[in-house]
Amino acid sequence: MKKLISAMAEVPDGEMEDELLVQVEGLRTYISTPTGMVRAVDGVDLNVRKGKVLGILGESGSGKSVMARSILGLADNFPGVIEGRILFRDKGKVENLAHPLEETTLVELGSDGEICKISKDMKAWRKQIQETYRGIWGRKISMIFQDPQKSLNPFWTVGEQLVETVENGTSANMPETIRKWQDVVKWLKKVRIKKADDVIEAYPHNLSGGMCQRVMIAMALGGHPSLVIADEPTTGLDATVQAQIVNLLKSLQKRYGTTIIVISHDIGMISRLADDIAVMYCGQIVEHGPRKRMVDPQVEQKHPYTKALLESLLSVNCDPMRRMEGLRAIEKEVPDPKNPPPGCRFHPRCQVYQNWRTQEGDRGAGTRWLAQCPLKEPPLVKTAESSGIRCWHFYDEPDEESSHV
Amino acid sequence: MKLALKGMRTLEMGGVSSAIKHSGVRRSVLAICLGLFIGSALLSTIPEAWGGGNPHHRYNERWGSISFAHPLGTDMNRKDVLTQLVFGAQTSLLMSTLSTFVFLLAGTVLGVLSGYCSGWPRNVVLAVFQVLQIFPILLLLLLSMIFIEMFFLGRMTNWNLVILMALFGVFSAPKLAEMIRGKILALKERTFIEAAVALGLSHRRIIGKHIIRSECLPIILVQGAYIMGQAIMVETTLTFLKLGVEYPVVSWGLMLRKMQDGMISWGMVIQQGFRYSWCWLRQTEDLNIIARDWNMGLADFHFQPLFPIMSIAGSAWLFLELARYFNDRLRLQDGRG
Repeated sequence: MKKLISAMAEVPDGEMEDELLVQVEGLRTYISTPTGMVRAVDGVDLNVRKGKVLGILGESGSGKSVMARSILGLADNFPGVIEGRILFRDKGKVENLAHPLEETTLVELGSDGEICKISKDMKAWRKQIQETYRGIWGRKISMIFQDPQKSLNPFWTVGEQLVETVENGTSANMPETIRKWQDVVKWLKKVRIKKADDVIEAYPHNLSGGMCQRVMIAMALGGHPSLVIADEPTTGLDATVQAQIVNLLKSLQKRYGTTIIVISHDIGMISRLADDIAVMYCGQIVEHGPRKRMVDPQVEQKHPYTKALLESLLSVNCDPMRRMEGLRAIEKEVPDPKNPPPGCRFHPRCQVYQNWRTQEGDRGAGTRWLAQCPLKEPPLVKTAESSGIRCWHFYDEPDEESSHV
Repeated sequence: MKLALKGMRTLEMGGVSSAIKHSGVRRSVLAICLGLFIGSALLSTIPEAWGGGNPHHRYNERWGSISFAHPLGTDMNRKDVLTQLVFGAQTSLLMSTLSTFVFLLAGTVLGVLSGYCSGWPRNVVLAVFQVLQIFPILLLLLLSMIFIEMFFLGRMTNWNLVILMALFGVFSAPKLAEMIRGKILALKERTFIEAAVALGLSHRRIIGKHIIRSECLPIILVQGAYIMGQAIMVETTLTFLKLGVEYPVVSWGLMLRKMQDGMISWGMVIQQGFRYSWCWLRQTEDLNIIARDWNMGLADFHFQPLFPIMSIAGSAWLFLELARYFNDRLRLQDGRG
């Protein structure tokens, strides 16, 4: 295994920051349930580059959607967002979208550093969120939701709904309804709907899922936002339509230079669409880097979870021996987000750690970084090749006496 | 033109013609009922249009029987009953429209306040609902009548009825408000409302377009039609109890009250009772058909078949009550005589 610590590069922050549209730092979003506190998002750091597509990959229940909602200020069940900063850059101005936290939320830590009490003034929080996001929703950040047919109002025709957002995005001094409707038709044509004049008068139930998703994309992009969050935009659509939607999103993204965060569990979709990929596991980002590095199975320096995810995928042109073996599932279940395992959250399922423990766990326990896995949470380390890896494995010195797995 | 095009599109897409036929029939029934309602309202506003005259004109015959000149006979004051009925409808429709308007306004605003907003507006509104729903509306109206007489207006002015009818709208508003509140609470969890927020729509637009005008409108229409029928009954009841309008104005309740002085035999009670209950039935039936139609088309209301039954039973009950009252009076008179 190559040495990563030494390869860690000092990236000058000043240059980087101008390219970043959104910077999420230490975001925590908890959800209170009758059976306990769900740590849906637990310390996420994320950098979204301007004009690029960031894919967020993860199993279901890993907190992807909750994170997206937190960025949009829609996570408003108690306690919701409790910690962190969401820095949004707009025309050279940096705004912390999570600034209402300072006045409304108090997180008390116990003696062991664990969160023991959260007090949050939800009323003030909602009010301040409304104020913060008033000019942002639809105009600077908008969202494409999971189920296209449910996210359109069944009582209004597509045109009547599109008019709202298109109107919202353009300047207020556009009173002519005709021009508004022309805008709607224009947008429907942009999302490659052929019979735009017919679709305008159709109700959502008259349209197929793919068509509805196109309409949703038009609604989300209609206000020319700088960031669009697409929460599983292709779920529930059949494969050919999925490909069309992905191509559509990609072409529109290139045309308008919009930044997109795509959330999905579909590695194929993400690898076709995204420039950067972040892998999320149990409320944390475990690896974050450019697409080429992330989806290439030949690259050695990779988080064991990412590796396992890629191995669970059976691509058409993988090598024949691999295909003989069939699908490889990741063993064991996703941990309970109410009390995640101590240390690295992936260690109970991690092949590297488990192999090492069975082979030489007793002998070299004190000297290896791997011994830290069940004890201490690894930090997200920035390296030259990737934006971050969260794994003790890469701290290991290569010149140690014990041989590697 | 646009409507016609829309209709053709529906035909193209739907294919199943029976559903369209059905809806067509339903629509025409609705149109006829609305036409009857509006027509009778117009007729009563312009009595010259149907050749009616002065409701206070006295003819020759007291308790005149049904004839071509007097289709419903004349009453004890030698006035034409039909003319009075039509002129009375003016008062009733005006008053019931007023209370329906107040009802819809108050119900919708309170419903939205208690459903969409959080914090103190919701709590206050809910508390007021619960207090209001404890008391029977008639009792509340009588109490407020006392207050109005004591503090604002004197006794027996025609404005009292206007205020009382507006109050009737307010007192029955919690019912509508609860329904709208329930709908809003359910709707708030739907994805399209969340999407509307994320796409940057204003609260006004979300409430107005995506909540009220899409899902709550059927409820509002049905309840409005229902309360309108009720308001006619309430107006009649109040006037009958000497809480409403007085002599120069003609009203159904006033006709009833005037009638009780002249009742001299059981046969007359029944005869006149039928005459008056017919007009209630007519009006409430019209409204209930409208209400049921809106129901079937747009919302799913579980006590829908109860509408006509309730109106008939209500009329019958009122008729029996009146008969008993007159019976007692007659007995007293017999005893004295």
